Amino acid sequence: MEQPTDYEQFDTNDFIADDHFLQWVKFPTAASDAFWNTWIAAHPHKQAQTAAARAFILGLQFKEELPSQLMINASLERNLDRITAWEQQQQPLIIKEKGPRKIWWWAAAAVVVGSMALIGRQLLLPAPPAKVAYAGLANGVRTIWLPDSSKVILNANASVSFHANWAANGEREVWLEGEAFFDIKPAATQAFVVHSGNLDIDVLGTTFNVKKDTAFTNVTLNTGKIKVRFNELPEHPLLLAPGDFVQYSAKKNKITKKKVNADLYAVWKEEGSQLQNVTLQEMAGYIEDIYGYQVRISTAELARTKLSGGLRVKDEKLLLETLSFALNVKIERDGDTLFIRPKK
Amino acid sequence: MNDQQHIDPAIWEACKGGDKNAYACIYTLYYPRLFNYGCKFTMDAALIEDSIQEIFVRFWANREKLAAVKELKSYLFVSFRHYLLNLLARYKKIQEDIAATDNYAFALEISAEQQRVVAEEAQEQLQMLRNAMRRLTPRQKEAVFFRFYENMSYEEIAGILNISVKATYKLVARAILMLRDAYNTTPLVKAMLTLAPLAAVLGSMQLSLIICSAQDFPL
Repeated sequence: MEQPTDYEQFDTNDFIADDHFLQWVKFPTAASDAFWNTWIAAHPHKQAQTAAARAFILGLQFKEELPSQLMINASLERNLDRITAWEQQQQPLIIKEKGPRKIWWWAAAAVVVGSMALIGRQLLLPAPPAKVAYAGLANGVRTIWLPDSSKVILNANASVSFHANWAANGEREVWLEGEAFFDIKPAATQAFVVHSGNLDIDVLGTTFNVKKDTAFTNVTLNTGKIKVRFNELPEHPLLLAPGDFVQYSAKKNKITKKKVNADLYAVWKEEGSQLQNVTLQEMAGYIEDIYGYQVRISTAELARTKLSGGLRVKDEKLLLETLSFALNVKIERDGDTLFIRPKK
Repeated sequence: MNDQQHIDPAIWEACKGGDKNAYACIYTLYYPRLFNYGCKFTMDAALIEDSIQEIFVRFWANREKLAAVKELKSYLFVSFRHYLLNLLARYKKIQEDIAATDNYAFALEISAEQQRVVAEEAQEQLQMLRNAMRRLTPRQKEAVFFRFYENMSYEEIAGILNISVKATYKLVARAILMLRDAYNTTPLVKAMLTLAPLAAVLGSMQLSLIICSAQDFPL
């Protein structure tokens, strides 16, 4: 950063107006600290002016009207929807003034030229488009936006990859490791496929959860419609309805399908998310599917007991403690089996 | 310019290439700042939200034309200002281009928090500052906002206000002079000097003063 040399001529107002001085007061660095402290020490007669300038700058504190994180996220979601709509139409949304109209057509032209250039390049060099990968956080969930503004919520340690650019009418493809919740934007002309290890999922605008670990891959459908295709059992594709749960065991090459409370299987995606009227029976099924236990409930009446409220399912121990406390039950483990019975 | 909240050039490049996660980073950084800026023109949060939505869609459409990340901040503020002022003009049925005149309100508000902590003599000081602020034109207030809140360079401010860099220097210098007069005319300069380090320590503490435009047009 070049420094002007005439600071000796400066009065308080000049210091306030000076770029370097302002940056030093607001965002001091080792270098600017060194410069100004040295300069002020060397010019003691300027000490009063620099102090007054500093006081003025720091004293000017304006009231901020900042939106909450919730507002920011909601606005971002709306905006991504609008961008997707714009991309699908490739034409202006609302144009009222004359000035911006010009800019719009310019933009449309730029996009057309851009994609033509891209096609040209692909004809010359038939290299596969670059794939981008996003890794989930080590601890906690992370939201990823796909090129079509569909949303993927990655659970801890999951990862998702996809081609950086999606052609307007091409297939939308995503590769998943670990667990993720998908919220897919519907698009009639563009198929959406999730590849997860031993199975592929064909999607029609929908929300669903996929969990792949070494032994099992679980798919739970929350809304919409999906088709699950199994690599090793190509003759058995399954069409899922909301609430369907499918588990594929790679070791046994076996498919299990059942009805579950789908919200429960996606509960990890939001901290402190609320569940409504989940029966202990459903919880037991969830524990069997996720943690691999056999669960035995002592009485049918107890199995029908309903739970509502916030539930932390991040780890097994916490989940069992919560259940035990909330339902006043005793949970005992014997090998791979959990016994749930009322507390005496 | 040292700006603590700037966009990493790598994120900017990714956004230009069509990465929506990079775009989301830019959106979440600038949305609150544009919102805060918009609140100085109008209390109508829906109008502000609409304007931000619209200019960001345009930004996405035009992103390949923007050469450097350096231009990004000015681009967003300039297009937001233009769009919002036009919307406001239409709502107020004023036919002339209000952006070209000083016929708009720019309310810089500084709140009551600080009044609780400062001594009585400093309160008098704040009142003086408040009066001085009231005498600034909307354009001067806007320049002060960009300079001392958004920490923009004179070049960036000139671009947004659509005036020359030289005129921007003059505008800011004149505003500083008028605001500082408030201190010089009271014998309590010392009070402000002791207040400032306190303000620095308390960080986001806020003064309380509402600066209204001298030229508010009737609603």
